[in-house]
Amino acid sequence: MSENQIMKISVSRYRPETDKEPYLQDFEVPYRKETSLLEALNYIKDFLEPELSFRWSCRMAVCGSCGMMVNGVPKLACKTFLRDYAGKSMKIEPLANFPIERDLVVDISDFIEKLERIKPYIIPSKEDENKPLTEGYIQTPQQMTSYLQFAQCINCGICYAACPQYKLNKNFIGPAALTLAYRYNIDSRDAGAAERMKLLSLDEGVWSCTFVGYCSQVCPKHVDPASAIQLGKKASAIDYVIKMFKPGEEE
Amino acid sequence: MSTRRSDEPIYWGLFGFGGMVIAFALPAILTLMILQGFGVDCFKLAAIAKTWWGAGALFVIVSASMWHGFHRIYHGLHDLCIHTTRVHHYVLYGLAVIFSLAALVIYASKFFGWCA
Repeated sequence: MSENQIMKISVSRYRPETDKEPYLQDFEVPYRKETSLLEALNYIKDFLEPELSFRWSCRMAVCGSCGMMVNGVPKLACKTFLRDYAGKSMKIEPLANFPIERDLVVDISDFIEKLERIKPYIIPSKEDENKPLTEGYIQTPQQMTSYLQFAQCINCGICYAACPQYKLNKNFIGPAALTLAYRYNIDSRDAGAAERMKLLSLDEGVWSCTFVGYCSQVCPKHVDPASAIQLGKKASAIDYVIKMFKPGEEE
Repeated sequence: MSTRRSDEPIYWGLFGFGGMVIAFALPAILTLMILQGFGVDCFKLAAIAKTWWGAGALFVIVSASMWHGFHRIYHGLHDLCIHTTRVHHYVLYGLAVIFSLAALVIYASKFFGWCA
C-alpha cells in the first residue's frame, strides 16, 4: 500500500443550537496503513473542522469511549482501520439507539443507569464481609476462568447499538448490563445472585432477548453477551422452578 | 418498569424442549413418512401409533413442536415491530394448546382403537 492515500469520510454533524437534525459532512483524509478511524477524526478536528465533537480517550480499546457507527456497523473508532475500507468510502454516525447530544457524542445515561441497577460489583457474603481482604476473597484460577470472558466488558455500549430488542423496547435491561449481572452471579466471591435474579427474571431482563446474537458479533472485546444472556435464562428458569416448590424462600 | 417476575421460563422451557425434539425426532419421522409414501413401511408406523409408547412419543413430538413453533412466531412478531400484547400471547399459545389437545385425542383414539 502506498503512503498517504485519501479516504472520503462522511461524518454525521449535529449541533443542537443550530441544526434541526443531523446531516452528513464530507471530508478527505490522508491515511497510511496504520491509520485508525480515531486518528482520522483527530486529523479532521486538527486541520479541517475544529468544532467536530466526539468522545475518545485511551486509543487502545480499553476505555470504551469511541463507539460509533461505521457504515452502519457499531465499532470502536480506535480499533477500526482506514485500510480496511480502501477503495470504498466511510460513513461515520453516532452510536445507534442512544439520543444524540452533539455530532458523534451520544447520551448513554440509560445504559449507565441500568448498569448501576444490576450492582456490577462483588457483594460479599455475611461471613466474608468481616474477614481481612487476604482471607475472604481467595479464588482458584479455575473459578476465575468461569467468568473471565464476561469480565472483559469495557462498557462501550456497542452491543446496545447493535441490539434490535433494545431498539424496540428501551425498558430492556440490555446486553452489557445483563452480561455483567451474570458475570458477578457466577463469581465464587459474590453472594448477590438472589438480589440480581429479581432483575434478571423480569420481562425486561433476560426474557426480552430473542437471541439475535448481533451483540456478540460486534463486541470489540469478544465478551459474547448473547451467550451470557442465554446462560442467564437458564439460571432464571432453574430459579423459577425452585421458587415454585419453595415459595417461602423469598426474603 | 414492572416488578412482576416473568412467566417466560415455562414457555421458554417448552420452546427449548420442542427445539430439541424438532432437531432430533422430526427429521426421522418425516423421512419415515416420505418413505411410507413410496410404499416403504419398514417401521410399520401405523402399528407403532397403536402401542402406548408409540402414541405417547408421537404426541410428545407433535405437541412439543407446536409449542416451539408458536413461541417462535410470538417472539417473531416482536422482531417484525408488531407490539405483542396479552391477546397475542393467549391466541398463539392457545393454538399450541389446541393442537396439543388435537394430537392427544388423535393418538388416544388410535391407541384405544376408537376409530379405524
